Amino acid sequence: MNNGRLNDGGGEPRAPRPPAPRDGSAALAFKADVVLGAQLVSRHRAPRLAALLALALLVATVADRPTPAATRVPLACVVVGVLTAVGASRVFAPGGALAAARAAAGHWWIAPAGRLLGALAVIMPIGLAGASLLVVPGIPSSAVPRLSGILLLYGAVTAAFTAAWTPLVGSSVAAATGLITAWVGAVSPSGLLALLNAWPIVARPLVSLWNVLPLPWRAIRWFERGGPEDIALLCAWLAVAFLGAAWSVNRFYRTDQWSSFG
Amino acid sequence: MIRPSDPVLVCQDVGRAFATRGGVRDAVVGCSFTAGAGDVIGIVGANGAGKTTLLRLLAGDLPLTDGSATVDGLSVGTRAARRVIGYAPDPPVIPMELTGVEWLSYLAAHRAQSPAERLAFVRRGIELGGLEEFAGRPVAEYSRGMAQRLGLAAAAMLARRILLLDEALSGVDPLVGRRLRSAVLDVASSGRVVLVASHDLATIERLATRVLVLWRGRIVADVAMAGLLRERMAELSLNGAAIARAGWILERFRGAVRTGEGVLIPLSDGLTVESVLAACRNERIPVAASRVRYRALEDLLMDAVSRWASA
Repeated sequence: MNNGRLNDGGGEPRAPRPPAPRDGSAALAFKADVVLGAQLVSRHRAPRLAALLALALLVATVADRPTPAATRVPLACVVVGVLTAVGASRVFAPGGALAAARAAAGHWWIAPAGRLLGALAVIMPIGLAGASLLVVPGIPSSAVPRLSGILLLYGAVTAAFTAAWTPLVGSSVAAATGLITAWVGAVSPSGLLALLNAWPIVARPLVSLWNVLPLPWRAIRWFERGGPEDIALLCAWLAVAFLGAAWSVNRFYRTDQWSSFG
Repeated sequence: MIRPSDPVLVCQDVGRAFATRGGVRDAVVGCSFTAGAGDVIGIVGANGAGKTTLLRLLAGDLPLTDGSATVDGLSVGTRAARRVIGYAPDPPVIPMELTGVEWLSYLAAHRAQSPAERLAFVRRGIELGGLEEFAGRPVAEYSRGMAQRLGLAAAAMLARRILLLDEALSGVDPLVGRRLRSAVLDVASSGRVVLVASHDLATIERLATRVLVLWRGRIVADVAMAGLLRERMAELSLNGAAIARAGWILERFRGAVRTGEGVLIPLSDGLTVESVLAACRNERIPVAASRVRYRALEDLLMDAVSRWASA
C-alpha cells in the first residue's frame, strides 16, 4: 500500500542509462515547421473553401460594372484578410496541429515563426494574385508593389493574431473572428462614428478600439496617404501577435477535444 | 549531477484537482513513487481512477496542483523535461493532414542534428511500429489501430528517458500486439522508463516489472510483478446456500476476497488448499469446486479496490 513515502522500487538500474540527449538543429526544426504550416493550410478544406469564396467575390466584382478604385482596394484587403484568417486558424488548431508543437518541444519561437511563414507562403501568393486582378484596372501599375507590401504586412498581422487566438478559442471561432474583422474592419473610424452617431455611449469606446487595433482600414489609409504611423502600428501589432502566439501555444494547451477526464 | 543509480522518475505527493460546477474534484491525490532505468510500470484502475490524468501530468500536458515530479532532475512540464518524454495518448493525436512518414519526419527534424539522423529516426520509427504498409498514406485514412501504432512509434522515438503509454497497446490485432510489446520491452532494455496505463491486464502482466493500482486518484497498491505472480491462491466455487456463508470464509482466512462465484484465498504462511477445505467441511460449508492457481493481476486489482472501497 502507498503510505505517502517514496517507494524504493526501481531505484537500482536494471538497464544502462542512455547517454544524455543533445539538442537538435534549430535550422532543421524551423524548416520542418515551415513545411508543416504549409501542409496544414493547403490540405484542409476550410482554407480551400475560403479561397473559393474569395474567388467568387473577385469574379463578381470584376464582372460587375466598372468599380471605382476606392472600392477595389478595400475589397483586396478583405480578400487577403479572409484568406489569412481562415488559413492561419489551422496552424495551431486544437488536436493534432497543437499537439505537434507540444510533442516537438522546440525553442519557443520555432513553431509560431515557422508555421506562420509556411501558412503565408501558401496563402499570400493566392491573396496577392487575387488582389492584383482586382485593383490593376483601377490603379497605376507602379502602385502595385506598394499595395502588395501593405497587403503582405496586413496579412501577416491577421495571421499572427488568428494563430495566437486559436489555442484559446478553437479554430472555428478564431477563423470566424478574423473573417468578421476583415469585413467590418475596412470601415474607417470616422465612418464608424457616423454609423453609431445615435449611440454615443457605444460609439466612443468602439471608435477608440478601432483606432488601436490593426484593422484593414489602416492598410487602406496607408495605401492612400502613406506616412509612418500606420506601418509602425501594424509592425508593432505583428510583434505583439507573434509573441502572443508563442505564449498561447504553451499556455492554452486544450486537450479537452481529444482526451477525457481520468 | 545525475548518478547512474539515481531514479529516472521521482514523483512526490503529485496531485491534480479540477474545478467543477459542484466545487473541486481531485483527479490525482498524493501519488508518490520512483522509477529507475529499465522499469516498466503498469498503471491499472477503474474508469475515472486517474490513470490518464497521472500520465498527462507527467507528460507536461497538465500542470500539477500539488507535489512535484522530476525526470532526471528536470521538473515535468518544462521544455527540457518534455524533450526527454514520449507520450502516446488515448486516442492518438496526430495531425490528420499529414501522412505517417511526414509526421515522423516532422518529429525527427526536432530531434536530429543532421538530415542523415532524421532519416534514421524515420526509418527506425516505421520499423518499430510496423508501419511499412501504410506509412505513406494520410493519417485521416488510418484505422484506430493504425493510428495507435503510429502514435506509439512516434512516442517511443521521442522517449529519451520516459515513455508514457495510455492504452496504446489495446485495439491492435494479436500479431501486431506482440510486435509492439516487443518494441516496448526494447525501449525499456535500452535504459528508459516505461509507464503503461491500460485496462488490458494481460498486457500489463506480460510487460510490467511493477504495478500501481489507482483508486479515486490514489495509489492503493504498488507491487513488483515477479512477487505477485509467484503467490499461490486457492479458488473456491460456492453455490446455493454456501454463497451466504462466504462471509465466514472471508473472516477466517486473512486476505481472502469474494469473486463473482466464490472466494479467493491466498495460500501463505503454510496454508494449503486441503486445510482450507477441511475448515469449510467443519463449518458445514459445501464447496462445489476448488483449484490452486497463481495470483493474477486481476486479483490484486479487485483486492486493492475492494479494500479501499469498503474503507
